[in-house]
Amino acid sequence: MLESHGASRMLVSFNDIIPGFVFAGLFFSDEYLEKNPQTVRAFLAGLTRAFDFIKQNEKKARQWIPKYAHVELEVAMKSALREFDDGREAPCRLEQQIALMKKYGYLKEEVPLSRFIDYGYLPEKK
Amino acid sequence: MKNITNPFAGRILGGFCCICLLLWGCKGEKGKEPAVVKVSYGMYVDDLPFYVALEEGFWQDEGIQVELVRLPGQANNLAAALRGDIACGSINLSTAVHAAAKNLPFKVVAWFGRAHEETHCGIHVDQKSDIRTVRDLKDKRIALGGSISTKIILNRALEKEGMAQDDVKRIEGIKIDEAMKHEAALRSKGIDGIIT
Repeated sequence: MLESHGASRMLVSFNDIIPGFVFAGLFFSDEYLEKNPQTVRAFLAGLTRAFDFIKQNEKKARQWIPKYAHVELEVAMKSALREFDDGREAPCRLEQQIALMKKYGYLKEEVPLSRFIDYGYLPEKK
Repeated sequence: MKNITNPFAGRILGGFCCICLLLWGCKGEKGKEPAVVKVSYGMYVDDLPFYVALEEGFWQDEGIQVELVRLPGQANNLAAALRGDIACGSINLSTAVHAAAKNLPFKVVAWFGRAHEETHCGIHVDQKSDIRTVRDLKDKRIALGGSISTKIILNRALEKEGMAQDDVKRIEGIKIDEAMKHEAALRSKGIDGIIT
């Protein structure tokens, strides 16, 4: 956004620093998952269709950005998008980021991925 | 009582039944109204899959109705989901790990994008700055948000260049959705770089 306003220049990107850096995840409470498993499956089925749509029709997809993100179409058409796959990430990629948290003193305990990740509601892998 | 023997009346009745069946089908599983799923979003470009799924009718096809709720801040998202105010929220890996360490009852069910070669999130400097490499950041003022993720990014960038963590002056706590303030801060030389 800053670059598109001519205010800034990128010195180094997240990807240069940590290749494939995983930005965020989508979560539900355990209670919601237990009570609404089919709704969550439906939500993720629609979402992963959107991931595919963006890959195949990027220009068309970008045209929805101004309506929701309140940016000009020109900015929407050239903003960098995240890379989306099927909602899963390789464990080694996540573990690398967790290892860096430990290395820099932001995490002390061991937290296995299985404690907070559940891919069981995603559509089957293609 | 008058018998319906008129062929036109029969067709009208048949048509009415078809419409009823169609309406029944649109109501989703077991004739219930579609489930409403409240999903928090930040009004960011990064939320594009939500916009696409809504506008292309992907969630409607799946028999659910998604309502986007503006709710910035991961702690707010987590609290709202655990209270039941929203169904789904966004969380970064570092916050998720810390929440899991505290045994909070949630699960990440999908990841929402990763960086790649065209990613423009990173360390930004003023367009006219003479800072050309990470090493030029020594003793400079770098603004970053409060999240562990941005701190890790800065730490790792410095480490890769053989620099110490205190080689830069950190100004923490900027908000990601205040782009205009970031721009003003860079231009006024209040900061030399920003992670955004």
